[in-house]
Amino acid sequence: MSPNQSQGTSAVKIPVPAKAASAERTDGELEAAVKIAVSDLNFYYGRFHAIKNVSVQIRENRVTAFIGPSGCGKSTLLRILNRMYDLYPGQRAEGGVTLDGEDILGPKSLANLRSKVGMVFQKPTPFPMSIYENIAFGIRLYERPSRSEMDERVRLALTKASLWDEVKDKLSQSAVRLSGGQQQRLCIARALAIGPEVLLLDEPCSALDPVSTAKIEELWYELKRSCTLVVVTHNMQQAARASDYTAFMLDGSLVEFSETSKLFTTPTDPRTEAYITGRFG
Amino acid sequence: MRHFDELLEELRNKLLDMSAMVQTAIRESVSSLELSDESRAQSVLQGESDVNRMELDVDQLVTSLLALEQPVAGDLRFITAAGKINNNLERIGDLAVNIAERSESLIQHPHVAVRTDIAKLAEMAEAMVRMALDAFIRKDADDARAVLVSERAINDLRDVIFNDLIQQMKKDPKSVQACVDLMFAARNLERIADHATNIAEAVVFMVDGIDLRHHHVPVDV
Amino acid sequence: MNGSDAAVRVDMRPMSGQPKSSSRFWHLPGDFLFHQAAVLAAFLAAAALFATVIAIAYDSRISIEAFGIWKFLKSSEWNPVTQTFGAFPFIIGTLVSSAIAMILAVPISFGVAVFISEIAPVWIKKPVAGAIELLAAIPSIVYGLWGLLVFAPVFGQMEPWVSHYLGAIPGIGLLFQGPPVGIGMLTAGIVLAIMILPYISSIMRDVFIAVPAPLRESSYAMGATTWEVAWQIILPYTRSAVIGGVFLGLGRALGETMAVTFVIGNSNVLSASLLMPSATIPSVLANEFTEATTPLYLSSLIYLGLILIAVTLVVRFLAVLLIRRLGRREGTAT
Repeated sequence: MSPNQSQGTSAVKIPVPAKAASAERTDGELEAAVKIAVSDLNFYYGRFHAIKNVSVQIRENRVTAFIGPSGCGKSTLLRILNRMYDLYPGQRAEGGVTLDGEDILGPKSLANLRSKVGMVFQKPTPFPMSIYENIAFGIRLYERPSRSEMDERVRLALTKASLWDEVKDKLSQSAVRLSGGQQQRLCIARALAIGPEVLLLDEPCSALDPVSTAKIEELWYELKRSCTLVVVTHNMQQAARASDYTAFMLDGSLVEFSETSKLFTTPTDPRTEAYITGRFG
Repeated sequence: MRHFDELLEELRNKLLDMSAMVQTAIRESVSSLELSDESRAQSVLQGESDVNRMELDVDQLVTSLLALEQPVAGDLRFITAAGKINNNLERIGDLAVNIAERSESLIQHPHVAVRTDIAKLAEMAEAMVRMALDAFIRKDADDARAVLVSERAINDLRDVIFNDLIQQMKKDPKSVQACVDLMFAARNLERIADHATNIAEAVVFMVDGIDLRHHHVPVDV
Repeated sequence: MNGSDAAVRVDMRPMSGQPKSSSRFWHLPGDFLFHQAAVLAAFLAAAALFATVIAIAYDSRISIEAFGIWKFLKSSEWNPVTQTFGAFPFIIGTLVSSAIAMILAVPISFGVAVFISEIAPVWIKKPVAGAIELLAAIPSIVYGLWGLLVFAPVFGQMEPWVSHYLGAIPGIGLLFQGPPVGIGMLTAGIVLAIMILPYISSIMRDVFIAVPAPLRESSYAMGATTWEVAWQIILPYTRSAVIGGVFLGLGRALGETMAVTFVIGNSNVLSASLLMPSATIPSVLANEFTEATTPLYLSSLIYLGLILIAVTLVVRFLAVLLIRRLGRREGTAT
């Protein structure tokens, strides 16, 4: 399945417009299933209208990147997907967001949503505890595995985030002492430990050096086998290199959304072209 | 103007210089053929090294732009198209040299009179090269598509010329050398037209982002 | 000092690079004076502490000669008539009343701080925070009067209930025996708790609010509840500042004089029950200083003051040690 899929996404030579949703079933190899569907989404910070009628479909087991200038609403959109905005009174979302067809904006259990939708932030945010405890913390929120099972879960999560080899001898050491890149992979491991279906990454590499950035991008290729990734990035090369789909946002609206290789070679909207070629504003 | 835009402008100018050189080479080689003028053939042969040097120059600029500026979208398509146009121009330059060589060979056999439409073929090939390069300069995909339409006419005319020359050879064995030279010249002109087609396809990709290669061009283009 | 003056001058020139750079020299005498004033201020503060300790130690010399150190610390006998003095009941009274205050005030402060930083809607944060800070503005004598005239009678009504239920528990029941008079160790601890609440809670609130939003958000993003975030993430993250705040409150509780004197009952006799009257070092000082007629009596009271300073310093030292040890375990340098 997976070699077919990767061929499917890279085969974009023929300039056929993206298939409508109805054509999906016949074209199963090319189009992955819709994991998150956003429809007519509006978002307000108090009176400020931050997201305007955005509709976008995020595909399962793919990396979807959101690009756009600062303040375009891309991070805001990301924070709607796990309802992070709930922390702040005065922020509200209107419209439809579904995860596997289920509405997530309604008054359902936040813990349940957040166990399915993990998030990694711009700056690494290791918790003030040991490396081991950083991973175990998230697991303990949902279950109480035995000591040996917990060890295994921690090892697995760190391995998935390709951090295990670097930290296996110092699991009891404080996470704060890791390097920036290691901290960020720890945050990814922590999110992975609770087995999320979707991983939201908010400019995850902007505080990292190129080597750490490359490691994390490489990780995405592994992660998308089991996860759907949504990435907000300021780094267009990163979106170009490491994502399957790219969405360009401007002033709270979605300007263009298509396969990454198409968006970066033949964007249809002149605003997209201006932005990605650096001739913006 | 941004530094990057200056570099793109430099690339464009180099390609313009190169296409002027190549167009001159075609014209000189063809008139050398038509007028049996050896000095024109000589000037084509001498100009070849300039074109080759220019090709290397442009290739280097294209590579460094790709590596250092990581262009996307329209810029990326322009630069990759420029690389292809560059290679095709160099090949056209080589073919013009081949024609000039055939012309020199023909001058050795002035007594053979051959009647054929090779002047027409030369005119058509030259026109295709000119149109393709104009389309590149003006970033005009419609003009570039118009070039593609001429391909079939060129092929048909080449077949007619080949037939004429074969008949001639059958009639007059002494004219075989001249006819073979002319056949090669016609073949080279047809190849020039092919390269003009390649350039036109690169222009369409550059402007519209549509890759027309290896598809049969629809009749109603 | 001329040397540093010259160094500044050399540095200024390439920095400003403008022709009018000489006008900067106008400020230099001011800078020099400020430098001197800062050194003097720091030196004076340290000198004042040393001078106080030395003066108190000197004034307690008669009592130190009479009772020594160890004997004075462990003796429970405080009898002006027989001129025998021992500090043990007051040290215990000071430590126990402060401990009660901490046991009550720290969890409540944590709750208040979590409420303000995590839970409360914006419009209610300021009034609640302001009201709690106003508690700090009330003079301690007012707390004493309120404790004696308002709280103690009400608490006296509840004491029979307390001693009936809690006093029946084996072991800790000993702590809740005695007549329901309303004043005593527990009352003093409760009043102290109210007094130190604003200090601890405002420090906790400030450091909780200052926790970086991404850290808080990433904890919530794991699906943690407010309690889990506050207890397992925010509290460890702000640990050293919180401990600092707690010990600031403890320092105030240890030294509080007037309010405690009003409500503790002032008994020189050590009692196991928290409901019984007791005394602390500050309260005994306040009560008996004017009655100290003999040099030994006066000197013993001053000796108590010296012990209070020592207790405070030990508590502070323990706080530093605790912060350092926890910090080493977690590897943070906050």
